[in-house]
Amino acid sequence: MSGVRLEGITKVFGSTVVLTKTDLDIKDGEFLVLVGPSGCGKSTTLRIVAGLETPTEGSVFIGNRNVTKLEPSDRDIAMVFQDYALYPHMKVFDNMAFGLKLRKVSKKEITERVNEAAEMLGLTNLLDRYPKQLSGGQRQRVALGRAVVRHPQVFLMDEPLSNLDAKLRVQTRAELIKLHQKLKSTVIYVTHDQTEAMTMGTRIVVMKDGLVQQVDTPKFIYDHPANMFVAGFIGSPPMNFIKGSLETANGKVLFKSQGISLELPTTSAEAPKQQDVVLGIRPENVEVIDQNKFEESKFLTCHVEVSEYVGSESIVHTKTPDGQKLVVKVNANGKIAEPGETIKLRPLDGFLHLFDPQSGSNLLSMKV
Amino acid sequence: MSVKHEVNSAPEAESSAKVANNVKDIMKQLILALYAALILGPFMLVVMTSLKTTQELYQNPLGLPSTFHFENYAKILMEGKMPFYFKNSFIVTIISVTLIIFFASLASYAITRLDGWKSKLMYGLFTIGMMIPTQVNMIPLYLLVVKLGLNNSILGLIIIYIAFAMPFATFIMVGFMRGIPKSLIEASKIDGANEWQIYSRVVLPLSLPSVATVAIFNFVWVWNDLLFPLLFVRTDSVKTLPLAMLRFQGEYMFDFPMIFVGVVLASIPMIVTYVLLQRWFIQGLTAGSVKG
Ligand SMILES: Nc1ncnc2c1ncn2[C@@H]1O[C@H](COP(=O)(O)OP(=O)(O)O)[C@@H](O)[C@H]1O
Ligand SMILES: [Mg+2]
Repeated sequence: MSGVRLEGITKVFGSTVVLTKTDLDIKDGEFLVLVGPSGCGKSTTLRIVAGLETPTEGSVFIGNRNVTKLEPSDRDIAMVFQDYALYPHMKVFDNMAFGLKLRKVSKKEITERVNEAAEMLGLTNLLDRYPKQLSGGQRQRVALGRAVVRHPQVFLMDEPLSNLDAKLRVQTRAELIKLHQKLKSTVIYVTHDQTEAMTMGTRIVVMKDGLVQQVDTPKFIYDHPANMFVAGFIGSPPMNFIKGSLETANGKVLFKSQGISLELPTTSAEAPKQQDVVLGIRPENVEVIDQNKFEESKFLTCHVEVSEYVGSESIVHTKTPDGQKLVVKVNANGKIAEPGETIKLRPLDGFLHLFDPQSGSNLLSMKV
Repeated sequence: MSVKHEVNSAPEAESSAKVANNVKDIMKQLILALYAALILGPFMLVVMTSLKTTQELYQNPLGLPSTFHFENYAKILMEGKMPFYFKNSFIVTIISVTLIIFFASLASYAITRLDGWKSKLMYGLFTIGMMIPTQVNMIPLYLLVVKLGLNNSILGLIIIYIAFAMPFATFIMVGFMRGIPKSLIEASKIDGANEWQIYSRVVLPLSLPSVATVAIFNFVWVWNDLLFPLLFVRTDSVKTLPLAMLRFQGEYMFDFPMIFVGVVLASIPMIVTYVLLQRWFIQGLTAGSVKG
């Protein structure tokens, strides 16, 4: 087992620059998730690690070996494809054994390894079937099994769950985490689904337009997003962004906009020096309060537009007094907000963020 | 009331749909039966004729033979040189078809695996061949073959057949191979397959339906071809069946049953090939390779 390192990877297709000077350092045994919107270059990054694409510039290291010029077969990696890519003319056993046969592993060992992987993935009864005789979930596991039997240094997975239905996806997600805990090998996992990234990754790489935006643990990225893009991409429903300006009065820092004056949990020393900012609030980090209990500067007053009841909670779409959108997720045990109603929202738990309106970069994350 | 009506109407709709389906089915079967009769009728006539005596043929051209004269077949197979021509045809056809499949599949593999102008140029050069009618090539081809000393030889015939079959065979196989998901090839690369192994163990097995198409098509063509033997073959020892049959017509002047025996015998290999290969035609092998 070993880690993977990308150094200054740039990839150009014709005239489109898909990756720009990408550096990544993936530790041995890590479950690293590449996440970002479609077309941001996740698959390309993965395929460069696999050796299916050649980088225009830069180097790829697996362990201590520079593998930039090596064939995929010489890199000691295994890949799980989005469409599974099972060989339709081979039975499940042969699908899993193909890579071992080509590597001249002994018959006895092939049988052992395939049976072991089949047991681990619950495929033992299916070894005699052709891929077309399997359900989507079973095919997905065969694709995993084909990678597992190879005992590779690095597993590469490109949206392996995206062809499963929602329920099976959640189930398989948990199984993949278990599998990783058992095998302890390095995994690079591509997805466009931030929930998958949050639940599975030991670290997450958020990408946009071929540029790495942030690399960190799910918790840290959630609490300290590097910029507005990351803040909006990670978390569901996405973070609210409210435009306004900062004012300091008697040592207190206030976020101001028309009809809004919210005291921020920071000091004038810590607060950014610029005036125009964007305030970031996650929908889940507010509570609905009674006006009487708190001072005016502790909450936002908003008008309810739509209220979606989803069982354990309600998603309430509101507008601030100056007409900016604010979506909040509130516990449904309380009173359900009605459209047209005015509610008071107080930041609670978690973090408030200040972003630069031009660059979008994070100026300050404040623990509430 | 309305509820009751709804309950009743469901089976009614179902049964009327069933009737419509049955009518459609019957029509389909009828058309297929008609088509089969159209093909089988003349063929049966040929078979029946081959089992008659000449006299009987003139007296009762369309009816069943009064006795089946299987000795007609024995006569041709024992006396004539028919088995010898059969052998020639077999050698030419089997070797040509095998090599056509081999070369065309290799070329198609290269065309589908390369990208950019190399692939386009190769594909273009192959397919241009389809646009040139054989007859236009006859004289230059004749000169070329003679210069190479390949005329009047089995090898010469085989080479010509391969060359002329390549454009269409490549066209069919490229079309098919392009439909093989790219991820399958990438998966085999990662599994450790080299180009030859990707070709022989993944792409070719998955292309069997197109192999069958090319095989049947070229088997029928080469087996039946009269043009090239007529152009290039002079000696008896190199003659293939169609050319021999031509002479046969002279030998058994107006002995139609004997000629028909030749026709029946000559058709058998084609029928056998078709029956053996048609299941590959039908089997959609790529089903289930990807996605759920
Ligand atoms: N072979 C290729 N030729 C040209 N452009 C490509 C090729 N592969 C990917 N791209 C482009 O590169 C960008 C990133 O693609 P990809 O890495 O597949 O994105 P993602 O997996 O994040 O959705 C896309 O704009 C895509 O159109
Ligand atoms: Mg992708």
